[in-house]
Amino acid sequence: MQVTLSQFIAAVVVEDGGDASQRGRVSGGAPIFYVRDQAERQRLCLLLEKVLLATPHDLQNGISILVVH
Amino acid sequence: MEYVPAIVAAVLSGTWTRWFMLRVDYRQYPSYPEGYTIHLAMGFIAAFLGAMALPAILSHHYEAATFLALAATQFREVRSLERDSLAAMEETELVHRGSAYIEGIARTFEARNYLAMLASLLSSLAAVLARAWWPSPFVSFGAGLGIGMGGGFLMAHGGRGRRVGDVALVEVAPLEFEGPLLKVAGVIVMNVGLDSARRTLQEKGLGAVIRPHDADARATLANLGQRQAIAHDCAVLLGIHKDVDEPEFTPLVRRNSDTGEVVVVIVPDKKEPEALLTAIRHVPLLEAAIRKPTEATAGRMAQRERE
Repeated sequence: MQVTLSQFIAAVVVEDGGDASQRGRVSGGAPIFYVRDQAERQRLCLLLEKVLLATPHDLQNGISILVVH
Repeated sequence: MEYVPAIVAAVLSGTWTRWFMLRVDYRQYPSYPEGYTIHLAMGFIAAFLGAMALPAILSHHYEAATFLALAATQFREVRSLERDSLAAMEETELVHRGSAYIEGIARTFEARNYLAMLASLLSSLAAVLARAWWPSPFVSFGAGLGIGMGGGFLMAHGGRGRRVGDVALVEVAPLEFEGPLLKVAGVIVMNVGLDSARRTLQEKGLGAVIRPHDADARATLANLGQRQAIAHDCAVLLGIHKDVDEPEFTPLVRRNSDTGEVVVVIVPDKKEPEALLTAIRHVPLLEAAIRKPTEATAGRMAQRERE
C-alpha cells in the first residue's frame, strides 16, 4: 500500500529584499527559501513546483507557499 | 426440441441487448478488447439463463428458479470486479474519476446484465406464446427475436438516466483574475501563484457556469463525487493541458454557496467552448449524488424559507 501526504505546505518562499532583518517575518516547520525580489520568487516557485509537484499560491505579502493538494 | 427456437431467439436477443449497451457507453469504458470479451461473455450467460427459465418451468422443472438466484450472485461479482479494476486504475488517471463515479459505473455494469436477462426472458415468453398461437418454429423464432430485441432496445434507452444538462443550464463564463485569485462567475476557484500559470490560464483556459434549475439539482450538483465526475469527463473528452508537475492546471469544479451555482475551470488541449458545454451537459447524474430534498416535507419547508 502506498501512503502519501497531502494538504501540507511543502515550502515557503519569502522576499527579503536582500535585507536579513526581514527574515523574522516568517518562521515555522516548512522549509523556507529567501529571495531578493518578485522575479526571483516567481522563478524559485516554478523550480520548486517541478520538484515537489506542489501548487504555488501567492499570499500577496511577498510570500508564496507551495502546497501539496 | 419444442422450445429450441424460443431459446435460440432469447439467447440472441439477450446477448444483442448487452452488446448494444456496451456500444452506447463508450465514455464510461476503457475500451479494450478484453473488456468487451468479458462483458459479452457475461451478457451471453445472463441471456442464456433468462432464455432457459420459461421453457424449464413449462417442462415442470421448477428448480430453474434457483438458477436465477445463482445468476444474481454472479452479477454482483461483476460489480465488484468492475469497481476494483477502476479503483486500481485511478492512480494512473491525470484527473481522477472519483469513488462516486466508479461506484456508478460498477452498478451500471451489474444492472446491464439483469437487463440482458430480462430481454431474453421477454423474448422466450414471446416465442413460447407465438408458438402456442401459430405452430411454426419460424414464427416462434421471429416473434421471440423481434420482441426481445425491441424490448432490449427500449430498456437500454429507458435506463440511460438523466444528465447534468437535464437539470441545469450550462453557460460559458470568462476567467477573471483578482491578484492571484482566479474567479469565474463571482466564485473564487483558486489562488494561482505563478505569473506564467496565470498567463496560460488566461490564454488557453475555459470556464463554464452550471446554473441548477431547482433545489433538487442544487443539492445534487453540490455532491463532491458529482463534481469530480464532471471534471473527469471534461478532461477526457476535451483533452487536458497538464502534467503531474503542473498541478495548477487540474480542472476544478467549485460551488457558489449563495446560489448553488457550480463553476468549472479547465485548460483543454484546444480552446473550444461549445465542446466544453456539450461535455458538461452530457455528464451523467450519479446515482450516489442524486438528492431530492423537495420530495420531503422538511425539504419543501426549507425551500419556502429560501424563496
